Amino acid sequence: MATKKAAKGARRSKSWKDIDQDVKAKSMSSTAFKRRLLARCRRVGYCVAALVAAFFAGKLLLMTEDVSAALTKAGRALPIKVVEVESDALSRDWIMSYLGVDREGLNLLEVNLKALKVQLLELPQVASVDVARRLPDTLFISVVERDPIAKILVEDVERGRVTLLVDREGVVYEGTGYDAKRIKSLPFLDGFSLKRLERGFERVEGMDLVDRLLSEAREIAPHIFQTWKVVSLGELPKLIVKSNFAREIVFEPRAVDYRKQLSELDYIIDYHKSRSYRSIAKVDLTMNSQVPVVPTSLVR
Amino acid sequence: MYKTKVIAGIEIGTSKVSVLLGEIVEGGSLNIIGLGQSSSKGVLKGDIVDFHDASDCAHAAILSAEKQAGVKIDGVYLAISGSDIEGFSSEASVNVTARDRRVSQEEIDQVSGLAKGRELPEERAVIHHLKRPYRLDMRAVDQPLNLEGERLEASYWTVHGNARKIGDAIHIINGFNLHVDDVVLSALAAGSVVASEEEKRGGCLVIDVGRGSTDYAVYNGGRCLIAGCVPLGGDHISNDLSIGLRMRLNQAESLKHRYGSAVVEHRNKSEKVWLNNDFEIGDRPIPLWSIEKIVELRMTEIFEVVLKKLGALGRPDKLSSGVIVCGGGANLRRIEDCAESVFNVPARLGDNGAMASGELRESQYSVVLGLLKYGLQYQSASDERVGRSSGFMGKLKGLFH
Repeated sequence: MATKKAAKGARRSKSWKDIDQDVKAKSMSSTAFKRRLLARCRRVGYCVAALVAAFFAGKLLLMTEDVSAALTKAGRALPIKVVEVESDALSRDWIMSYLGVDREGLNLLEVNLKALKVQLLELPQVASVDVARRLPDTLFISVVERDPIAKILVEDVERGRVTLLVDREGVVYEGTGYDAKRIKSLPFLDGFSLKRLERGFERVEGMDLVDRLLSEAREIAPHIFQTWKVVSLGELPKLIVKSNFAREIVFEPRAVDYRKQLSELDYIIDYHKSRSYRSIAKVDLTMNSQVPVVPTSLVR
Repeated sequence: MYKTKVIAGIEIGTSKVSVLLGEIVEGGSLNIIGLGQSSSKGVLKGDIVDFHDASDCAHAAILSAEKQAGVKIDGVYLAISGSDIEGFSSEASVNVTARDRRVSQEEIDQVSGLAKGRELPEERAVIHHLKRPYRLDMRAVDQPLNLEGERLEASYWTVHGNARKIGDAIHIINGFNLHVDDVVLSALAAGSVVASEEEKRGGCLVIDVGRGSTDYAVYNGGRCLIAGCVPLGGDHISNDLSIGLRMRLNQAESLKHRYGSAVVEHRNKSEKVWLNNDFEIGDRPIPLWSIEKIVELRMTEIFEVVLKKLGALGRPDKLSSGVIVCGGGANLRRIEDCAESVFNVPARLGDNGAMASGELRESQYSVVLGLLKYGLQYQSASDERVGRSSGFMGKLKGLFH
């Protein structure tokens, strides 16, 4: 029986695993030699194929880089000569200045279209934007702006009284570049509280009704619309219009439109004019066939 | 994506070279995909005596198997046999040093290392260390870790062979540009297939009778306790017939296959058979009794040599599950009866039915089937290293493999 000491000093026995498995070509059979030669040739072939593939891949890469460099060079030779702008109120010069594309020598390929788009969409007046390159030298900018249907007068600490515009979606914004006459013709809104947000203002509720009423009034009774000064949203869904003719004209949204109420109002106005009556305090158009009209004389 | 590895079980025998290819899928299941065989040349009594002839035969068989399967071999499990194979029992013991007298892992490793550390002569190489149960204070235990005792003993049956002869067999495979993953004693490979787990637990002897040598392995308690090889085989029977009945070796071989029986069946000495059975010049009658007697005597001798090698382990009480005879020599008629009379325990012919069907059920394929089984069990670690993947990257790696 082996002891611990004896075993410690013992040399490790040779195992079959110690036998060298490298074999020389001399000791191989012809079949095996051919097979090994074939395997080696195949291996060398694969290596050569891999190297050739790598060489061509590298060359292709270099060529791609050349093309890219050529494009960059060509790009440097493409200055912006024309800035084509499509917009409503905002002028071409204003937009170019705002975007900084009015500088000389600006390159068409170096312009960041996405950044320009984001910059324009930051303006509350802008609803949507399209910016594109038109080779060889044109930068195309199309701006769709919000269409104001009413205005609000607010008191600003720094600037005093400021007129804000409201579109049919209730978005409140400070308009730029609009025709002054058009802005002047817009009625004021009241009867609601305007909330200021971190950026801009909270949307005004009920503007869809206001849009419908004003659109129909402008279309079928422009002479009446011209006299409207204020639209009050204080009793939504009723709309109360203050005009030169009447201090309060009360409209109510009905199934189809405001046309019938506008016709009744037109009749009342004509009737009063024909009788040379003085102005009216209140016309309530919300009671279908009955239209109570309150003359000014009855109002204290 | 699953990983597969194609392994080959190769037996370079005295009569033929057998190559069986198996595909191991995900290290879990084995599919047998190819078989290649060629008659053997340059091998005598299991030893390679002509490297080039043996190489040609082995390579032809490998090529045939590869062509049949349509795949390339990833690793080889090689059966080893031959007159130089020997074995000895090596034992060692250590005292359990812990205060609570519980065996630690370090002590198990130490005693195992001591038992396996016995020095061999320079020209010998270890093939297997067959582990036997540990003994803790003289009681046999499978796993002594944390068991209480004072003295731990480990015992191994070390199978070793001539390093140059083993090297020759390995280099034949290397000559085909293949790497030998493991070498396995033929008897162990055959035993893993023909003996059931129940038989291995109860105690059985597996004898693989080859043309040039006979391999044996004794199982008990589910483990192989002793394995080895005797340089006697079917060729010796043919040789005896040739000398005893004065005929050429090939005639004797033919006579053995046609009329050979391991037990004398025909007592009537006047009953004769024709040597060549062609009634031409040189053909002559041979007493059937003589043929059977010569075969019986030689076969009995072979079994007796094995019995002697087994020592105490060859006692009938140690072989309660009997003897299993396999290999090409097992085709000899009534060989199991001969084994029964020598070992005094029931004997049966080996059958590969548990692992294969059709032609492969024949016991001459037990060794190569066993090699594949061995490969399936023991190569999971190398699987990850050399394993081929069936995916694109696997195929790409395969190109350079």
